Amino acid sequence: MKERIIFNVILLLSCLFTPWWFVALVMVIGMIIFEAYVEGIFGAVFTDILLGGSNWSIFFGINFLLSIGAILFYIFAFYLRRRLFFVSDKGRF
Amino acid sequence: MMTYLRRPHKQNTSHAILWWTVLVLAMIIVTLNFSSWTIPIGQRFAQVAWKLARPIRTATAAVTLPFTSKNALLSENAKLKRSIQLFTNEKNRIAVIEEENKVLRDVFSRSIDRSFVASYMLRNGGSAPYDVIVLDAGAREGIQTGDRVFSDSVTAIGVITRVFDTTSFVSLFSSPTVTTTCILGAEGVVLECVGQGSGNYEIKVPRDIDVAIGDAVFLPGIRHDILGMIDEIIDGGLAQSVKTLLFRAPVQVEKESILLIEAEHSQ
Repeated sequence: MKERIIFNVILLLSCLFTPWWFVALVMVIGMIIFEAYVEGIFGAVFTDILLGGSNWSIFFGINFLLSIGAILFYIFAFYLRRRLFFVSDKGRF
Repeated sequence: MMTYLRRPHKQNTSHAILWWTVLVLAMIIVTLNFSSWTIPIGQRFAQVAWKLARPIRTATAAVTLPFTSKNALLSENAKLKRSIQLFTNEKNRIAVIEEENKVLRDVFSRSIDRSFVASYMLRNGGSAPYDVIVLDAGAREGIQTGDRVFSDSVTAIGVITRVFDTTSFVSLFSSPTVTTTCILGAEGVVLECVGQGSGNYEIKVPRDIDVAIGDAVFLPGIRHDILGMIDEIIDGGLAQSVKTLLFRAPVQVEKESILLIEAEHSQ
């Protein structure tokens, strides 16, 4: 739990001060290490809000690309984590 | 007859939790995307953190200065190169202005003076598709959508796309796929350049137009704001009717901390 809180602080700081690709990296690592890392999606939404969305938009004018990407990776990580030998049942290294 | 308790379907439960979470979050994202109130609130919250981080950045730089003599030299070198580039920009601009001076005399009642609002760069989105800059000047400072943004008094880098109370978003001319009308060199050929990201642009011109490396590219207008300098010319030979010009902005926007906003509406 303590590790998760520290990681959340790192995620929040990266949302505020780092480029979008670094936020995506932190989010991906978090979703692999921790079980059901919903905070990653919230971080992506927060970054999208801070940057006003991306310059490109997908269907129906949705330009929250990082958030959509976070949701897709959240689903992917759900299945991926079962196949990773270094992820324990508790959901971390 | 023996009866057994049915084993709970853990996997099905976790699948259901996953898909419900995804569904709810997707709905939240779609709602936030179309809500006009989310971005101003986010800006207000983040601005506090950005402003707090400014003195921390300055203090950190002061502490690490004695240990970064090599970096200091490199930084000074970069500043000197930048100064040379600025002088070159000025020289090119003056040459073009002198050339057009005769034409402009009859319309010289139009003022070419202008005022800028200096603003601090709060956040740089990084690269595409988040090629956006957040500035700490907004509607309170009289900023409006469409105002041009400069790195110095002559080099244009982008345009204000969204304005909030105390912050504003800048969309860069060099963002990928962004098309900008520009004027090439002293001849004044009007063309369209396409952003390539990170301050780079591309123009396709007919082969018979004379262009040299180092020629300036300007934004249309009476003031000849510089967009960049020709860096490379790709000529496909006689078989091709056009040649490709690659040019880049004379400044690296991500390394700037203060940007100037031209208050176009105040003229």
